[in-house]
Amino acid sequence: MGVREDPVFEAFVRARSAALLRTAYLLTGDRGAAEDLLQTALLRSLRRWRTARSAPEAYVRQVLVNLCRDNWRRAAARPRELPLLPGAEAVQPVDGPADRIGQRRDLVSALALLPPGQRAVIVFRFVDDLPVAETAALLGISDGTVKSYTSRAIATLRAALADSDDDIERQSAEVHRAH
Amino acid sequence: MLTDEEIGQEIGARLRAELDGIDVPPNLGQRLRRRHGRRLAATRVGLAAGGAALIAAAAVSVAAATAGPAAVGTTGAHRPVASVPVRDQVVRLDGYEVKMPAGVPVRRVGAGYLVGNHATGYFTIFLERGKRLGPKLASAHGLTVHQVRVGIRSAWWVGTGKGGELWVQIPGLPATEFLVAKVLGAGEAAALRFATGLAVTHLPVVHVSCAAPCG
Repeated sequence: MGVREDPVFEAFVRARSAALLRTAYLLTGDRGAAEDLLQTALLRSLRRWRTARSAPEAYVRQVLVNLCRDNWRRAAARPRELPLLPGAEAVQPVDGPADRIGQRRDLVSALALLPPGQRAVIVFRFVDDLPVAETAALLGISDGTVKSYTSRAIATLRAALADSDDDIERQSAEVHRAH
Repeated sequence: MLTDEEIGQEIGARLRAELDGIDVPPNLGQRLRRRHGRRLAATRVGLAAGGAALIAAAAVSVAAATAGPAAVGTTGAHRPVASVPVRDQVVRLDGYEVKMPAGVPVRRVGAGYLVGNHATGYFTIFLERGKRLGPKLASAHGLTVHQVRVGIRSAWWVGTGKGGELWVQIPGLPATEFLVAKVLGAGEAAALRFATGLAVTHLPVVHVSCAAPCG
């Protein structure tokens, strides 16, 4: 039986791919990118299945982190492109207060505001529930760095969510005044 | 006063709740296969929760995707689309250089551009954020929105130009059919991102050009 027909891999993918997709989504902030990332990670893991088999989830997670790093590096190096049509930015739909309230608790969006390293720490520490040491090993940083990233990330998230709430309250008040 | 650890736990719980609806798409196996060709029988990997029909549909789509532009809708031999020379003509649109195969006509249609014709099997997608593909537009081409989305999702990446323009071929549609759509919802954005490898925010315009004057 070849590696490709390994039922353990199939079972692993069936059982864990949804959770891994969610992790990838939080790391990238983009559903499409997360799906791409996951499928590439699974493929790489399959090709090294003999190594990955003993701890497949940790292996796939590590591949996800490596792929994310590549993406972040590429994104940082990429020159910013300009819109084709002049003024295209001006026609973006403006959300009303109702839409903003829908976003009120959108932690996923707030998470996207974090630098990649801090985002990864929050995801692995508190969504995947990994201990500090394991998170540090996964990201190739020290335990102390994990803790400082956690602290900074939480401060940023709190500020972002507080701003969002203030903004919504202000907009809602304006709407009530208008009526 | 809550500690960082406690706040983090709360954040984690809320993030998990927000991600509740996120699940593996049924065509992930298909995409694995398309990206990596025959090296992996991805339909057997078990990524898809769907049944045999999905796998069969994926196989058809993969066959079309690998058939090459001249063979779309036919039983042409395997020919990677990327090997076809597509950048031997440059046209300037609103200051952007758009590269395309020689002889492909370009003209303005509505708010977008018509690039390509029924013979080439190519069309260009210009992205304009904030637009949505509507059923009216899709049905003008005898398609549902879902079919268009699936078509875009199945698109085979051909190339991107300097201005972010795309060359995308949608397999499974007749070579004589072109789509007009003012895109994008989140689904199409993700699909296009997959098809092109580019984030939608990097794509300047969205317009799926069409030979019919319905843009």
